[in-house]
Amino acid sequence: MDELLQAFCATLESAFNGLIAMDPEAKHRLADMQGKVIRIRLKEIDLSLTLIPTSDGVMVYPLYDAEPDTEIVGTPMGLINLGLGNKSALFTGEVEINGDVKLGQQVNRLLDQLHIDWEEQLSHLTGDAVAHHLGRAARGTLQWGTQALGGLATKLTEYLQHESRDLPLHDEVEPFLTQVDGLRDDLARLEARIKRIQHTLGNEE
Amino acid sequence: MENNGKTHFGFEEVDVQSKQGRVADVFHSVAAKYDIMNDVMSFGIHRLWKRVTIEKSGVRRGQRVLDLAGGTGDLASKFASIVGPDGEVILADINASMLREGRDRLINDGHAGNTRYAQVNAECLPFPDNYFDCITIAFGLRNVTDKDAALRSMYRVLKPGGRLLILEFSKPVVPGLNQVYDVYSFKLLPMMGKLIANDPDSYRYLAESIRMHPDQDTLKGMMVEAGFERTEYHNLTGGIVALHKGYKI
Repeated sequence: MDELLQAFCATLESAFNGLIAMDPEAKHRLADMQGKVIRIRLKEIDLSLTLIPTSDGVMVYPLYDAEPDTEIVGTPMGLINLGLGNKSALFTGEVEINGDVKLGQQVNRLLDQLHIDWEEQLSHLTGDAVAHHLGRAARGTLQWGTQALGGLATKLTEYLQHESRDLPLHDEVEPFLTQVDGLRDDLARLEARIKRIQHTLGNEE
Repeated sequence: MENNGKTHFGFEEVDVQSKQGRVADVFHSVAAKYDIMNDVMSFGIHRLWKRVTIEKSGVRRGQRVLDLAGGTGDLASKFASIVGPDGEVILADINASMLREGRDRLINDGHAGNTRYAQVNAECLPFPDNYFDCITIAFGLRNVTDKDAALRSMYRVLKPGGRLLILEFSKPVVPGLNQVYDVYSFKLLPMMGKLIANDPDSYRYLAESIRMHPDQDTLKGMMVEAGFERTEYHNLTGGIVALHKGYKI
């Protein structure tokens, strides 16, 4: 079991170090954190991983036998959100940083700023010219994809609201929701009044 | 292990004085191909055993580590990456050929400034008292002639709170594993030694020395005898290997 966990961590470690190797700046940022023990713990499934930044990458162990300098605890979704650069997870309590908070933020920043120059990496395999063209094509495709998705969403909304009239317009929904809120409040007030009257009647009897 | 000035060299009984020389010959002979043989012999699992050792060591930035019988320096290289410029790793081995391999490895891995090298006998370590935060000895203790003296010496140079980790072949605890392991050790191992390192005798010695090494509980008892506290061991791969850990408190 130990061996399997270690093999899993070794695989994770080499994947992570592969990413770090692609970003020349990442190694400089790691140098400040060298030898610090950073534990990442998943709240709901009680699973943890320990990261130790070193002079040439990051070591990953299931549970390093030392008190961690910083502990990042979170729900799986919270940690994924944080990894994707969405800071709101820190404010909603989905992710907590205990211990050396500055170190925790450094880790967060490192993940945030991991800029991988795919074109440069590709050029080692294919040469500069091909990599540049592929890079341009990929960027073009990405841009087209984003525009196409955005356009599709707008057109679909317009069709459902104006043509097929399956969905109400925003301007119609807003007053309806306000009316529902008002009705709920009126009902609560009526309920309170009935209770008060029942209470008074009970006392008189 | 010792009896009337005799000790074990594999299954042979030899004079205490001659064991060190004969072990030295084995390691001079295998040094250059030590890493590749380890990979072949253990199917690469020795890397995972060493990962467990590093994990259990809990070494962190700024600490001083002694990697005894450090061989080709794979543990020392990892420790040097962890302890950083304000820590120190000493790679030590009794065998000059192995130490040379280890030094080359560490330099090639880019480690300098926080690493030192020492040719030492584990039975009488030439370091001050209370000097190290952690000592590791991986696949080395079974080649030491006087293991009790070596454990006492390690205890002396450890700081209070420091820990010793011994990674060593041990006795399989999984039923049925013993028979498979016997065939592997005495038939396959010397054959692989012949094919890869052209040195079947050295690998026969390795297999025999593994069998003569004290089992898990005996070694734990020896650590307690030397003064270590909170001693424990952890079986790996069904007890083929065990990692012992003890603290100086």
